[in-house]
Amino acid sequence: MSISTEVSAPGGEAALAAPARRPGLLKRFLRRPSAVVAAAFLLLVTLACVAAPLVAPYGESEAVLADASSGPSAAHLLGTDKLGYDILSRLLHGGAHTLGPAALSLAIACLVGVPVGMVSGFKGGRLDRVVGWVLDGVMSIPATIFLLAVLAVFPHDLTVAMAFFGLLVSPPVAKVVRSVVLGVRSEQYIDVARVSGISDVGIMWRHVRSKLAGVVVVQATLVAGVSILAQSGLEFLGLGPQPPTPTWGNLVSTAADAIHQQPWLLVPTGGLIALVVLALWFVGDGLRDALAERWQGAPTTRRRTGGGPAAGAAREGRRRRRAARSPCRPTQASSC
Amino acid sequence: MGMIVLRRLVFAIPLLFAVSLVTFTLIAIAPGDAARVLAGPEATPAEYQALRQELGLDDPFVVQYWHWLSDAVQGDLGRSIVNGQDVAQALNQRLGVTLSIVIPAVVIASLLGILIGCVSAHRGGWLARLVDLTAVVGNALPNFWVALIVVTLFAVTFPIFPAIGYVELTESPSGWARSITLPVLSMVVGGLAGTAKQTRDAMLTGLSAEYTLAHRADGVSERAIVYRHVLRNSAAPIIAIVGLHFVGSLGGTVLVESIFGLPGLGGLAVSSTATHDIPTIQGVVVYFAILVVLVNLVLDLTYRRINPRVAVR
Repeated sequence: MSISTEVSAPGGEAALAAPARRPGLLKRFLRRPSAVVAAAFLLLVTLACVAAPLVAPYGESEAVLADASSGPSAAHLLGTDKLGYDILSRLLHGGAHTLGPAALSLAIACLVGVPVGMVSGFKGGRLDRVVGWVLDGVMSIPATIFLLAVLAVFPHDLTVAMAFFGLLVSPPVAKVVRSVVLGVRSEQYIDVARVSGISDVGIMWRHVRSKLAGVVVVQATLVAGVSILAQSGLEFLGLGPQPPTPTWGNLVSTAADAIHQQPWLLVPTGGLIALVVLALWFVGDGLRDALAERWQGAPTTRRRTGGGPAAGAAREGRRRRRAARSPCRPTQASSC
Repeated sequence: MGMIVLRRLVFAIPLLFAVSLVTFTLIAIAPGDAARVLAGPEATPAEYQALRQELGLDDPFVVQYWHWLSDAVQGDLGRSIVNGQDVAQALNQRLGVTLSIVIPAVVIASLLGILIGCVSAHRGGWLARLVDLTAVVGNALPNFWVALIVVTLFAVTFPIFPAIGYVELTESPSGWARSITLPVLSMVVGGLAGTAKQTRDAMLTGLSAEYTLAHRADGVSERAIVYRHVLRNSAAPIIAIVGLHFVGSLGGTVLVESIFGLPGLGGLAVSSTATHDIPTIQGVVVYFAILVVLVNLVLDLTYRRINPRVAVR
């Protein structure tokens, strides 16, 4: 295998040269304040939701009627609704019901999207074209309405619905993976690996996989956000678990019922969903920039003495990557 | 032109076929059946069996699908199992309501978004940063929440517009406009920022291209470069996002129509999901798929108009 490592050096120069000069990915990520704040917030929310029975001030269905319809106070940090439920506690307990199926959707989107994108990009040709058609077709299905059909068949079962949602949002993941694989495939070291008799699967595992990790994580943050939006939308419509079981979506619909008496309730309930999704995307943005720094950084610093074009190309490359990402952002397919 | 339309429509058939097959399969594998619902809890097993026979539920899957498909092609989508109404008729009645909020919302969001995107690409600075930020924030806000906030602001706190209900255009044009203002507004919020950002990204690529340099060297005015040359060349990604936004808005009607109590397809989809009215929801899926195909066709033709090079290829 000495041949393949030697030849891979010029092809993967950025990857090889970068670690020597640049700090690791985690360090570069930690240098971005907005991404770090967002990541810390997500960690806090997730932990609090998982540990809700321990940390929530009140139980899942524990109502204090005497304090009904109150604003924020020391006893109820985010206030209570008209039945006397503590909003903060309901949000924390609801987290498990909402985030579980959303996580399933994320897992399915990645488990389907990544292999499909890898095979399609690596094999190319007719297979690639057919896969492209299928992906475009799936992307043109209005996801929400399809989920309603699923829920008509499996009433109140958000797990099944969100599993389907994962399938519906996998095409953007597949497309991004495919484009990365296409870029790698034409590298010389892949040809060398092939000549030296490594199977396609082996090449993908050993040489392509490492290039994908970052991109997939970035896509995952997008998919996770979209899944939470879709899921809470279905819950809002009353198609998820029924009250008194709290979910992020049905808490918003409780707030909507009290819109004339207590408009304040909309702020913490919907606000939490918005903040979590926003935080996911800031983390994705930070990660993508940190990754771009590694890919673009090494050649830029090396050639800076040679003149501006390289630096310009690096900026251009980063910008183009951002541009390329936006159409794949699956938000539109599902804007619940 | 005619050929292109024809070809696109032929290409759309597999998509419609696939969508209908998937929904049909889903329904076939589901526990419980329409006969059970229609027969009601007091039906004797014999009555139930007779109804199953009548509805063709004992036929093999392929035969059932074939019956449904051959009826659907002729515009017969079956009857609602809840109120026995003809599904196609019920959908046609409601299509107008859905289109009268989706089309204005997509058109306004696209035109404003493209304008803001162009200006921010060519001015840069704080406007560009604002577009970037609002694009992320705008997409992260749950659209049902945005709609509720819009209601709180413009119907509860300042009662300018009605919070709920729909007025037919033929009944009172001004009442119609008032009844769709808030739904349209809440749908515009999500799409506007995304379109602006996509436009800006596409425009920046064009503005740094060599042909722009050549135009500048020729002394073409900056305004002409931006709006006449670069915008036209950036049409592909912009049109792509408009298409995605339309698909998203169709899905969004489900929530928005429920919140504003509009008698459209989205609201119908929600109520028939709650009552397990499968023929109706199946019909809505088919209608939405057809709408997506038609809009993609319109966008494709627009793109050919803007950028005739595609037609030559």
